[in-house]
Amino acid sequence: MRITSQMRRNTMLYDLERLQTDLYRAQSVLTDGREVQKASDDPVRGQKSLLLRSSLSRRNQYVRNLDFGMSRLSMAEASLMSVNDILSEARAKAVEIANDASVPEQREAVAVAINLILEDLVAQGNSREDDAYIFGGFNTEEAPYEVVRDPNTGDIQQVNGRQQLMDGEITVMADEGLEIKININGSDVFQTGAPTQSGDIFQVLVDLRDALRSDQSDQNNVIIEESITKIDDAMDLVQNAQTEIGGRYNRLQSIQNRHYEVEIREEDQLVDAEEGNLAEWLTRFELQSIALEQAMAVGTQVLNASIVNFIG
Amino acid sequence: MYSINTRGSQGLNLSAQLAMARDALLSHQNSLNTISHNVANVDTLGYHRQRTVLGARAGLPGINGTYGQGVEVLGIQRAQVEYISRQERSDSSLVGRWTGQRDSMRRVEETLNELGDYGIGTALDNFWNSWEDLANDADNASARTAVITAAKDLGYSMATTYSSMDSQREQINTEMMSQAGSINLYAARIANLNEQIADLVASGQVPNDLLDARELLLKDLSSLVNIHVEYEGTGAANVYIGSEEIVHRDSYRELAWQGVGDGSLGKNGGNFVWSDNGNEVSISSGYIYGMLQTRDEIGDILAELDTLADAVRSTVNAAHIEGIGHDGTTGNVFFRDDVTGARSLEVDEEILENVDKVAASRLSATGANDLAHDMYELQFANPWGDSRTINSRYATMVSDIGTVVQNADLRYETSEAALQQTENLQQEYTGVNLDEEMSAMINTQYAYNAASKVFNTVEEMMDRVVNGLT
Repeated sequence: MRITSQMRRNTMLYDLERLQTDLYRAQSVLTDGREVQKASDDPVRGQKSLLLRSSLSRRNQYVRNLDFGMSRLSMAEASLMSVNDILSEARAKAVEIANDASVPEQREAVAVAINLILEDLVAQGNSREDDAYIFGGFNTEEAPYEVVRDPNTGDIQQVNGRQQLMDGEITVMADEGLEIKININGSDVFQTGAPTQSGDIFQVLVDLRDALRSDQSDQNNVIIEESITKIDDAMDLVQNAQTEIGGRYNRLQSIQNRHYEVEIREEDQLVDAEEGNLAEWLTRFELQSIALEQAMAVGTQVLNASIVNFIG
Repeated sequence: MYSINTRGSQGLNLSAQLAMARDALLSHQNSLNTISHNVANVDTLGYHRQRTVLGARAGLPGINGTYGQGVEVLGIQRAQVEYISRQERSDSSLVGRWTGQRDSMRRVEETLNELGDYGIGTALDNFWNSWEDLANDADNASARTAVITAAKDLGYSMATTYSSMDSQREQINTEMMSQAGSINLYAARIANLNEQIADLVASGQVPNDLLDARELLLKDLSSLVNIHVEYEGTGAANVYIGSEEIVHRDSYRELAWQGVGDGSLGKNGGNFVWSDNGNEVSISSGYIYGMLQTRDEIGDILAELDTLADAVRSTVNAAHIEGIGHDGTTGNVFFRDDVTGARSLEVDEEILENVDKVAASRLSATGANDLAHDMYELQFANPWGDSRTINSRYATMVSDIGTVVQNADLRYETSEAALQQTENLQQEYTGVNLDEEMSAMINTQYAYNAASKVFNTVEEMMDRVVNGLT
């Protein structure tokens, strides 16, 4: 084979360029940490990485949705716990006065207590989180329970629940195509307006208070007696709602845990899709550096070799 | 029995020997000249080594046999292997093609910047997610503003990607316009060389260095566009692009760039045509072909972006029209529906003026979030009636572009290696090797010295004949 000067030089330049390209690639993988930085580095892995990134972004959103749902449920839970306590207290007072209800001062003291309980109950019915009324169904911007007060005493005479949109179900997107209800409708807990078996809990308390303030007639005593059962019924409703909240909260929690687990798996897959074996790349980088240095050393030697150096 | 020739022999005389020595000196000087020419051009691109070809002059018959007549220069030969040059041209076309396509497609891919953090894919994800943030806070104005911000961001990503690709396409078209000029210039220069070469050949000369120059032009031209060359006995090289002749002997035809549409660059811009008959030039390789491939690829990408943007616009609007805004109004579009395409995926003016028009529900103005959930789920819908979603279609587009770039990368490398090999082969036959030239030079030098010795000797002999015999 005839070797010419241009051939030697071109071959050296071509080889140096090739080695430098390889070295550059190894360098960029090592400094970026990712083997697939553009789809063209590996279209199959690139597409996988795109889809995984998208999926991870959705998963973050689901986790955020579930956080929100759990926060709403916790708020409702806290509020219902207070309601439960309030009603227990009201029941205890009613029982106390029903068993021993002779002294008018005592009855008045209980009436004052019941009145406070009533105010408290209305406040719980109008609980808010982040400015949203949590028992109002879709109607999150207006208080679900409106009170009518006695113009002279300022006492609550009547509590009206807004019927409109009260049964609206607010859901969170827990996963693809999976919506879970996260609100408790006030109408399921605080019975107002429409008469039911247990009646209107606000009205029960209004009647109880008013009965305590009136004379000790048999009729009033019957109201007091009956209020105990009615409060029991109301507490059952509250407890049902609490059980429901507990169940849903656990469900959200377990879905969120599943998201976290899948997220870890997807992040691993993303690493697989994008990152290379760094040890392997480091070795490659070392070898390529050596190869490049050798090519340079050999190249300059070869380019210098000529018979011209030896003839005078 | 044999007879002894005693008569003087014709051809065998001192002045003939002096002439022989003189011719030898001149011939070797000629060789040395060629060697110098080779050495001087050791680095010249496209240079083919030359050799002074010496031959023994035909002898003259004499009584005792044939008397040698010394040396003569038969010619100066240029090393040339036609099939290697042909191969070199077709390899150059391929390298040109893949260089053009690789470099330009890489720019296209960089524009998309997917797998980075600010691509259209991220903007799409953020847009869909923003509806869920609204769902979680359906009566909130700032969640509505966040939806609008995400929508603006998506529109902005789409529009900037689109216009940046569009301007790359225009740049390619503008470049192609000027490439028509350079092809014409090549054709003119080749035709001109054809004329000079044919003149020299006709007058019996060997135009070695003009052949080199023409060869180099042909190679450069072939890296721009696929050409086919046919040589004539007259020395002319006729050049074809496809089946049409661009250079015929000393004349050439011009190419022109024909833009599509009046002034505007139209869908993909235009094409090369023959100036005289208006036919489209059939270009199938070379740098120009690679660039045109990218340009058409960009055209497809732009159409795809339009399709994606229109799908986002129409699916979101169709749902949004059914919704009730926080202000109680209904029947509002979310994106402007009086425009189409990726460049104008813009949030509707009325919504921009009043964020409360963003609807989260079909049922109630506040609190309910059914529509926001539906909006989020549009990313799983199949707007084209097949299994593709907006996101998956976009991901496919990105990975398709990646495949094109990767392919161009690989093809560039293999074609470059092939060209390198062919160039080495060319060098093997036609390149200058300094060691070889040096040894030839030493040979020539000795031959020259020896000839001058002969010259001296003959001169001494003549001196004896003329002055010594008294």
